[in-house]
Amino acid sequence: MSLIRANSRMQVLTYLFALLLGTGLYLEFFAGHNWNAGETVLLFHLFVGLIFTVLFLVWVASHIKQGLATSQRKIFTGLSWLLIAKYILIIATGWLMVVPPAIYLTGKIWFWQFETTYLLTFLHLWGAVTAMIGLVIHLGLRHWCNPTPHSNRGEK
Amino acid sequence: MKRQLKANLPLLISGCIIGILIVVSLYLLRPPAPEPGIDLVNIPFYQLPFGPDENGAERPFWPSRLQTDNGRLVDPSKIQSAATCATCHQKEFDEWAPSLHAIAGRDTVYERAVEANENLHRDGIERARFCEGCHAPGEVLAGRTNRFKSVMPSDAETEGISCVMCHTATHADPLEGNGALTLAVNTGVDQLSNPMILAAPRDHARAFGAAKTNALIASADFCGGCHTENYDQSMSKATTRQHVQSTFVEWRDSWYAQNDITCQDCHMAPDPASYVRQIRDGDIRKPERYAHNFVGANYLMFDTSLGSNLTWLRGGILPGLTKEQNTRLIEKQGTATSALLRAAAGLALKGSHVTDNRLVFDIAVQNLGAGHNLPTGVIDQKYMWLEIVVSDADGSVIYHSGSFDTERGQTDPDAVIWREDFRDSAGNRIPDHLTFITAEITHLRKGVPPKGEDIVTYDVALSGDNTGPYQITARLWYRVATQEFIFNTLKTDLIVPPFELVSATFSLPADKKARP
Repeated sequence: MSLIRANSRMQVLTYLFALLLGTGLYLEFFAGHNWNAGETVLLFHLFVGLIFTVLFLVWVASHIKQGLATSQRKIFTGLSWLLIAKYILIIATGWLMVVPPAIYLTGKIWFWQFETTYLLTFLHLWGAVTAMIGLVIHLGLRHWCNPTPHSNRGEK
Repeated sequence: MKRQLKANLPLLISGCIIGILIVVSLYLLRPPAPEPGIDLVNIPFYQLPFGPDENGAERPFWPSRLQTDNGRLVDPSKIQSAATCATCHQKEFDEWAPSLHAIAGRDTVYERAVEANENLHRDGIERARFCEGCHAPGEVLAGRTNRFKSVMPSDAETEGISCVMCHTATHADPLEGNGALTLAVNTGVDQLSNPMILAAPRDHARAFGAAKTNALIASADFCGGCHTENYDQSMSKATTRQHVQSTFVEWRDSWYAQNDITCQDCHMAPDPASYVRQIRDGDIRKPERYAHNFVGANYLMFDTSLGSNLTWLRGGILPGLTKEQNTRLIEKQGTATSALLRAAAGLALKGSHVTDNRLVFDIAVQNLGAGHNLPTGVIDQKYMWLEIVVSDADGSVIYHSGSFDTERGQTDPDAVIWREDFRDSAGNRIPDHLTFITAEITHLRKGVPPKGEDIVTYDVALSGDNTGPYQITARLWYRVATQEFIFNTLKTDLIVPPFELVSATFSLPADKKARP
């Protein structure tokens, strides 16, 4: 039962991540066609991003404990840690970019230097694109050792 | 396929597809945005006395060559005020606010000159689009330069050359001039809320500083759109094109253009005078950043010794500024303006000889630091002159040319003066900058070209009592308005003080007997 719950939570996260990537790509590459239409997409992206952050942080702790601990392959373990680092990077840069509007809502004005904004956006966007590739690899990569002639261990 | 991949791959793909569908649906569900800007027919009583262009299209901003990218007029409420931009771009606002660009459409000297011109013709106000296109583009683009004011005013319209008037430019014709700029002020701006701009500042930057605009406004071509001014039949009595302001061409043909030193490099350097001296010393590296001061040559608009007269001359205080801020920023800009003027010119004695009863000498007026003629711009009001005082060994003044009467504000009429004259159809000089009746432009003396010099020869009569050595004191003066103009147009007795660009003293060691 708990496995099903964990799987469905993971699938919700996958879904949200895909939504974030889709809207993020739109903001990066297509919002220029109409600056003002991009505002709704940006709001949606921020809202989904907030939900994703909470769900991901709760989920990833137990996944590391239960899932990663059972990895039998170094390459899988290494890539998984890299993937987690990427997600942390995406979330951190996303939150850093939300700091100025959050401060604005308290009645003050503060924002990053323009160069910092560029760096944050770059890391956020391309971190997300590589995380998507990493996720597909992570999901498709075998984390158990191939059965040897003396062993019949494997996924059932 | 691994179970996890099998379970998640469809989600990833469908998530992406749904993300795209959300974006597409938002587009479809949103009511179609109306074409930005205002159609000409929606400006009540808008006058078009100059008729359509050669293709039959209406010319709502003619005789200014200013245009919007989609050909429509601008909704004044949608023009971003510089004071609004200052919410985040305070530093740039503080640099721009005291500048001549900020008061281009409101300073009293300009306003009164426009009024004097408007009164010359029945369609004078519409003709004034020629002036307002560069001085108050917001007014022209909104349709307020019209004898019937049917468009509401807004802060942004009073701000002269404000942020959006540069940061939306998509095309400039520096040879055509007369405001030959195309502004995407309807379509190239965002209307995002402040929190959204802060969340995605790059989108805001991309709207205002699209690559095309950024490249254009960094070029001299952009400045040339307004700093080239020609009079023709569309707004004056000229039968052939008269070059009134050739600043762009002066620069284009100069050493500065050949070495890629642009208008922005000097006039937007954080410390323009230091930058000019750096260039004079042969170091042509670009400035480390570009400030928005646009430091120029009009020292009068920064002369805080004028007190309340200065506020009057500047047309009041800009929106977004307190009186104290205004004074502080003007003082700072005034210091930079004076320093820049003093970095521009030089004087040299090129030759001298004493003959029987005559002292003959050549003074070279040198343009050492300006990347355009000295003086430049529309120089029927602004003018430069040379003052020469020759004294003998006893200290007695034996010759004086180019004196300035501080009581009456008059320059010695026999002085060597660099100025252009507007002339009417009968060939008479027009002293009051009346563009619309000008038929011809003549020059008393053309401006000194960049890195060039103009040699003036003086021939002084000596009497038997004069003995050398002789001392020549030369002063190069600059003044931003003639007194006739101040009296006639501003209706005031304010004396416009001249500005000393440079001075030099030369001693001629020999007397007339020693060097016949």
